[in-house]
Amino acid sequence: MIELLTQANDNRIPPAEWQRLLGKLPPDLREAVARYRRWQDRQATVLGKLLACRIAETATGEQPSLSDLRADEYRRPYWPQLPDFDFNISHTAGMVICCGAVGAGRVGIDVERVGEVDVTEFRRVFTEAEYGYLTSLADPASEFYRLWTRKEAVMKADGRGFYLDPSGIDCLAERVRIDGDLYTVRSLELGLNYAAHLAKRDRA
Amino acid sequence: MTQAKKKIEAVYPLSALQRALLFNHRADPERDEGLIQMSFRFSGPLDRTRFTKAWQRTLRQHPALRASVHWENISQPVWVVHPEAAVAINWLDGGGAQVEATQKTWASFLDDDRHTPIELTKPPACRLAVLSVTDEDHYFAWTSHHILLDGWSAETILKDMLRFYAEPDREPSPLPTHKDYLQWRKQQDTEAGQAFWKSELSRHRGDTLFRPGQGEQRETRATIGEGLRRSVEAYARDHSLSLNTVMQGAWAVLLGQYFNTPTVCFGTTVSGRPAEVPRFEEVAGMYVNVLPKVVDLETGDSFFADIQRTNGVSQAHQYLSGEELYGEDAPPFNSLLTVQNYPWNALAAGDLRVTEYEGDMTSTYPLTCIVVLREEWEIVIRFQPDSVPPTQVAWFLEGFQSILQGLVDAPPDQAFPAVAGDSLPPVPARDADMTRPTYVPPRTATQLELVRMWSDLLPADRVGIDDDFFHLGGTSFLALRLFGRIEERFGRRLSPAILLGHRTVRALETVVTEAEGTEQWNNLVPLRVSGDLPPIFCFHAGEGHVLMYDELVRHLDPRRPVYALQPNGLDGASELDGSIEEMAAHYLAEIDKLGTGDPLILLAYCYSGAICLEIGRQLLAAGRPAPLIIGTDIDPPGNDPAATGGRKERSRGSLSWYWSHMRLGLWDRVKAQFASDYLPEAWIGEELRLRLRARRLKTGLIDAFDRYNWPVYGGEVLLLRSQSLRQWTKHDYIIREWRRLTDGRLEIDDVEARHEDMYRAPAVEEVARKIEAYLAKRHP
Repeated sequence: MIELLTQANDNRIPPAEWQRLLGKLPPDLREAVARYRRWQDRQATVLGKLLACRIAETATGEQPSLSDLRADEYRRPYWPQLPDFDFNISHTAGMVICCGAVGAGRVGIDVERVGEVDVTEFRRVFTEAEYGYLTSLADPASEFYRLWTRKEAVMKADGRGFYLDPSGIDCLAERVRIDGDLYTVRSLELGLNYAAHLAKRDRA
Repeated sequence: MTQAKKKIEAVYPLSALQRALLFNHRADPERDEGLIQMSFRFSGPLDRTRFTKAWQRTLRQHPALRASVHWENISQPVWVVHPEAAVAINWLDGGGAQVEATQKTWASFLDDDRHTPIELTKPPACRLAVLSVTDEDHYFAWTSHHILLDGWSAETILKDMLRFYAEPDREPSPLPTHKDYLQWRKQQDTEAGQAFWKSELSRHRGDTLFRPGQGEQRETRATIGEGLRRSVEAYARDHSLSLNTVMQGAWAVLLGQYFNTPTVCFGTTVSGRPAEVPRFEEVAGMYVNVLPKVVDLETGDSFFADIQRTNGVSQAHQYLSGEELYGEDAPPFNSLLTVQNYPWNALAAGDLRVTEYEGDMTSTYPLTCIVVLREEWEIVIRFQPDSVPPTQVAWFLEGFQSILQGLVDAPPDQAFPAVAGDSLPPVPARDADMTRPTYVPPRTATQLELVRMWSDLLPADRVGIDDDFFHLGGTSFLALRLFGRIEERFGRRLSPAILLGHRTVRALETVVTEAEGTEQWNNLVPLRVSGDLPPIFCFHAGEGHVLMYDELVRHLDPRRPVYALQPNGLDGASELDGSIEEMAAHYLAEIDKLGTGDPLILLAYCYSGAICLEIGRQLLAAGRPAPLIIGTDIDPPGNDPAATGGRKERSRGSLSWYWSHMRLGLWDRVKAQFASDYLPEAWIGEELRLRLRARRLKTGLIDAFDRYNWPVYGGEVLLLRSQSLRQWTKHDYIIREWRRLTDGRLEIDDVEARHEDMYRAPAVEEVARKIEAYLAKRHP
C-alpha cells in the first residue's frame, strides 16, 4: 500500500510553532532551510521532510532520523537503514505532498499548481505527439498540467528524475514506458487548483 | 378582533464576514474579538427619561438594533429582526465621589464590560451604561457586537439618538431595509466584479505578508503635530486629493520600505453601503467590508492619482465577499489601514454635547493602522507582538510621520514615492529566519543574460550571481522554463538536471558558454540591470572608483538600467590604458557587448569628460549617432592662461615634495609616497596597497588627460555645474573651452551643491532629477 500525505502551505506558520518544527531537524538541515529566501520555500522544505518521516513511520513502524537521510547519485533522498522503503516529495505553491511505501519499489509523485501557461515554452519537454495534442486544444492549460505531472511523477519513480530527457517519454498512453519498464500512473484529486500524479513501476 | 402581534419582522442569512465573527464568538465568548465597546463623554444636563426615550426611538429607527443571532438547530445561521426590543440603560452610581475616584470606577467598569460576553440570541444585542460625574458631566458606554453593527453604524445611531433627544416628538422615518440591500446585491454583476479584482490583484508583485501572530492585540499611538497636520491638509487640497488617498499613499510607501517590494497590498475598510439605494448610507447594520488595496510604488508622478482612481473604481465592486475575491486562496495581505474622519465633536443635542470619544474596532490582522482625523490627528497601531515586535511597530509609527513630513517637504516637481523613503529611519531587522548571501552583480554578458532570465522567472527581489536557484524559489517546473529560454537564447539544448549541480548563475554560465568561451568584462560594472529604459553609462572619476554612483542609482528612474565603467588597473593585474583614445575604444567595445541601441547615454565626472568626448568622436567617426553626454563639473583641456597658479603641485616624490609635506606634518602622505616609491607591493598592507593603486591610477589618468589631443567634437554636452565650479577662478575659461569643443552646443544646468557633494545625499537627488529631465527631453 502506498501511503500519501498532503499539507497546505498557504499561511506562514506562527513563530513558536515554526521553532518547534525546526527543532526536529538536524543542524545542517536547519541551516540549509534558512538559505531559502521566501518563507513559502522554507516551510515547504521542512514540511516535506516531516511528512516523509511520518510516512516512513506509518509504513515501516520504525522512526527514521532526518540526520540519516542520504541522497543517491541522482540526488534522490533515501534512508539507507530502510532499504525496502521508498518515498518521494513534491511541492508547489500552497501545497506539499509526500508518498511512500514498503516493498513497492520506487514511487514518484508530482504536484503543480494550475495556472496560465504558454505551451510553446515547453516545446522541448514533450514528445511530438504530446505537443501536437496540446497545441490542438483551445485551452491547453489543464491538459498541460495533467500531462506534465504524469511525466514528472514517472521520471521520479524511475529514480533518474531530470537526468532523463522528458521529450523521450510518451505520457499520452494509459501506462508509461521508460527503457522497457512500464509504469502505472494515478491521478490524485486535490481540488481544481492542483494537478497531481503518483507513479509506480509495474512488477516484472 | 385584535390582530395577532407579529413575533418576527424579518429573517436574514448571515454574510460570510458575519459567519466568521460568529465562529470567533462561539470559540471563546470571553475573548470575543467581535465585541465593540464605544465610550463617550457628554457635557451638559442629561434628562434620563428623555435619554431613554431617545434610545427607544433609535431602536425603532434601526432594525439591526432590534436583532438577535441564531445558529442552533437550524441549517444555516441567521439574524432575526424583532418588532420590539426594550432598551435597558445601566445607570451606574458615581456616588458623588471625587472626580478621580469616579474616573477609576468608570475605567474598571469598562474593563469588566469588555470581558462580559454579549448574548447574541437576545435582542437588543447591545448594552448601554451611563455614569454621571456631575450634573453636567457624564460618561456613556455603548457595547454591541460586530455581527450586527459596524463602525459606520455607530455614527448614524448616535446622530439619530441625539436628534431624538433634542426633538422628543420627532417620529422615526422609514429607511431602506436589509431586504432592499439583498435585492440590490442580486442585481450586481459578480463576475464583472471578480474580473476587476483579479486584474487588480495581478498588479501586485512581491510578498507583503506579515508573519501570522497568535497573541492578543496590543496598541500604541502617536499624535501628529499641528504644523504637520496643516501642511498635509494644504497638500491634499492643492493636489485635489482626499486625505484618505494621502494616508493610503503614505502607508503604501511605508510597507514598501519594510518589505522591500515594488508594489504593496494591504486591506482597507469600505462602508459597503450601495450609493444606488437612496439613504442607505444612513442604515445601521453590518455592511463594512475589507478590500485589498494594491499600490504600485514605481508609478512616479501619477502615484496619488492612481490610488485615487483605483479607489473610485473599487468602490463600484466593494460588495464582493472574501470567498468571491480570493476563492480558496488566502488573501494576499494581512495588514489593514483604516482612516476614520467622523467629526464626533460636532455631535450635540442642545446643551448636551459629545466631548470625548473612544472608538473601538475589530481586527484580527497582525498589524492594523488606524488613522484618526479629528481635531487632533492620531495614528493608532494595533499589533500582535509575536508577529510584529514593538521595535518594528515603533518604526511604523515614526516612519508614518516621517513620510508625511517628506511629502510636504518634497520639491513640487518631484514624484512623491521616490523622495519619501529618504526621510525614513532604517528598517529594523525583520526576517531572522533567513540568511542571505552577499549580493554579487553579474560581470559578463552571459551572466547578465542569465540574471535577467532568473529575475523574470523567480519570485525573488534581487538575483546575484552566487544565489542558488532553488533558494530563490526555483522549482523543477521553473527550471524547465529557464532551460527553454536558454536554448532559445544561446542555442544550446541542455538538461534541466544540470541545475542540480550548477545552482548559481556563476556556475551555470560555465556550462552555457562551454563552447564559446567567456569574454570577461574588464570595465563594465552593472549597478542595476533591470528596466526597459535606455541604460546610462557612468564613468569613473580620477581615483578610478565607481562606487560614488551607488547613491545616484537609487534616485534615477527605477526603470533605467545603470552601468559604471572602471578603468583597467584597478585589480592590480591589468595595466591602465595608456591614452584617452585607448580607454574610450575599450569602454565602447564593452558597452557594445550589451547590445545597447544608439544614442548612448554617457555620464562623466571631472576628468572622465575627456573619455566621453573621445567616445563621441569615435562614434561619429564610425558613422553612428552622437551620444548624449552629461558631465558633472567636467574639466576641459589645459589651464587657464589668464588665471594665476593653475595646478600647483610639486612633482611627487621629489626631495622638495617630501620636505614640504614633512614640514606640514602630513605623515600619512609621506609614508604612502615612500612605500610607493621604494617598497615592493607584497610588503605593504592591503589598505595602503589599494590606496596606492588608486593614486597611481589618478596620476596615470591625469597624464593621459594632459597628453590627450582634444578634437573639436561638435556634439551636444550638458554640463551640470556645482556651486564650487561657479566660484572657481577658472570658471569662465572652463565654459569658454567647452563651448569651443562642442561648437556652441553646450547646455548648462546648475546644481546647488559643492563639487564633492554632487553624488551624495541630498544633492544627488537633484542631479538625478536633472539627468532624467534632460533625457526625457532628448530621448523620449
